[in-house]
Amino acid sequence: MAISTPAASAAAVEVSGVGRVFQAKGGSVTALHNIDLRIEPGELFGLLGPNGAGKSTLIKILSTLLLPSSGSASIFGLDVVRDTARVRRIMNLVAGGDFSGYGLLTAREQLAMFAQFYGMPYAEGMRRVDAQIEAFGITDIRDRKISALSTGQRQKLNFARSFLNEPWMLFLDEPTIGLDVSAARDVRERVRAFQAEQPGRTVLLTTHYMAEADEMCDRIAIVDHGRILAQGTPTELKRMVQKETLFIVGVDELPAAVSLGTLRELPGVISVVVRDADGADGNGVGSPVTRLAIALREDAALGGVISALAAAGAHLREISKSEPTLEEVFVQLVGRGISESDSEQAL
Amino acid sequence: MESCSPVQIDLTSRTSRPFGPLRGDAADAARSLIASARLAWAIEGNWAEPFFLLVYLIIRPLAFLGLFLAVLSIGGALNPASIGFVVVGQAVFQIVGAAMQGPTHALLDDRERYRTIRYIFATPSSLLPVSIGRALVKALIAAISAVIVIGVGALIGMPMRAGGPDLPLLLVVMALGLTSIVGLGIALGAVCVQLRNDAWGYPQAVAGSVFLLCGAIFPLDTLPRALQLIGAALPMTWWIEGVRRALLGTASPGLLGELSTPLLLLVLTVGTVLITLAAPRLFRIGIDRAREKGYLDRSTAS
Repeated sequence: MAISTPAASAAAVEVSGVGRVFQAKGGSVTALHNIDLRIEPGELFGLLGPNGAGKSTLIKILSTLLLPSSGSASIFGLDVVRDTARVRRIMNLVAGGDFSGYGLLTAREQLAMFAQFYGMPYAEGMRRVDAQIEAFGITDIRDRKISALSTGQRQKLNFARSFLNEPWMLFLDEPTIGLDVSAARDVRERVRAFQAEQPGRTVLLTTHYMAEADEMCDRIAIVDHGRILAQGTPTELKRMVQKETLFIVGVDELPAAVSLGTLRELPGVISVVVRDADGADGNGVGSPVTRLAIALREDAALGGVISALAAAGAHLREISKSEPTLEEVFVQLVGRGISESDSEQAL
Repeated sequence: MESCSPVQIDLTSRTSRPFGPLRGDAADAARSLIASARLAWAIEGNWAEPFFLLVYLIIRPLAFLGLFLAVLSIGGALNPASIGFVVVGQAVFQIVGAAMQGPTHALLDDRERYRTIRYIFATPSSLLPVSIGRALVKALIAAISAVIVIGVGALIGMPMRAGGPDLPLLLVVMALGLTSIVGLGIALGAVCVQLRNDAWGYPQAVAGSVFLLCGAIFPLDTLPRALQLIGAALPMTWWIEGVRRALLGTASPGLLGELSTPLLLLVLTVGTVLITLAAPRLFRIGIDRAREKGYLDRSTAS
């Protein structure tokens, strides 16, 4: 049955009212509260939140490792509780920071073993194993024992394993945690390439690295204490905390003919302040720059400001649009920074 | 983002078995079992460390054998018949212990030490053949110890069956015994995987208790009546007795020895069938409960 999965029909991930309660000493702990989520085929969706927010719990439920306490969830229309065997054929997962692997096996032997667990005949399995080893650029370690691999090499191997069955749904749970900048970049590039190879491949990424989420994700849900606080594209989320548009305009000096008050009276301008004025660049080279922070009701109002400055004889040196970061979005929604949240969690 | 355009996904080919001519649950299970057996051969054998392997395979079982024979000697009961009784019991129990602890250790190793259980569980392969494969290799390696113990026993005066071992009987009881013990190991693994802490000690505790109850080192008749009944319900009791008859050519002293060999085989067969039917179901229940509790991939350290 070749089925079509347009956005209006089967979602890549459909989560409806999923809750999860853990029994612990001293009572129960609710990790997820009635989560609703829909991820379309082909999306790279991010769950952004501090440790203990419930991100990993949701991924474990979706990857059939954990049963939900309430609600239902499906992957490409397959129920993750009742239809686990079929779900496992079209998904895979990678968790970061767990240093998994059989130290006595070589990298290639471990991948070959997993190929068998996916039911691949030996020749087909080895073809895929070698293809992934090459794709991740780890041919130099293919015959090295896993115990001798670095953290980054192990994680690349883990990713290679996760691509063996060419999953439609890939769950990445903090996949770049503990990796150096170069290894993290390699992994992100490979994920993007893997998704681009076949339309419809979907990725659910959990992270508490704001830049990673901002850079990689088509849409993001911000999660805290088992609840989704907001979701949307990174731009939409940023818009939620910034109602006006902020531009930074640098001029060589503010002409006497134009005052800040004059600029503030222009149509569409909310406020104008001198942000900073420096004499030169850090090396003492260059000419003075005065930077104005101009808040506008809409982008189009910038034209009037620029015209007024030019008419007054100001020389425009630089112009940039200032957007809030995801960190600022997070702080506004959660009430604290993500690093503070992690510190609280650690305590 | 590709979400705007319709995506063609052939769910049938992807969610059934898309690979190769071998199809069906049995083929998939066999493939997983062989793959995990290869893994176990690398891990359990640890052939890279010959000294530790030597200690594990030879010195440890022979040290225990020496201890039991010394106890018999102190009690004035050391004679060829008692040597044969203890040697066979000690030899077979090497395999019993390994096969019983195998599935639990495989599950806990993958959860706690190698941190791979989540990745194996997330494949279409069941953890059942994976655990069985690991247990069988443990049992095979333990069988090397068993052969060494029996060889040493023969050298120190163990009376062997006239005309050599009864190989057909030996093969049948070994096959039945091993199947039933791996089944019990699977059931034990299903219990231990539901425990978050201290699960490592349970298989050893159970195996140690069974060692006392199954007639491995002293006849069943020497136990209190209630323990005799428990011992009689254990498949390893009948397995060890069957091996004794195949190797020594004589039955054990006491009640067990009075039963005919066909009756012994019947009891062992029935027990094995019941365990083989029950073990996979118990395993599935155990895994589901671990999944429900959230313990399946949760290491003790987390």
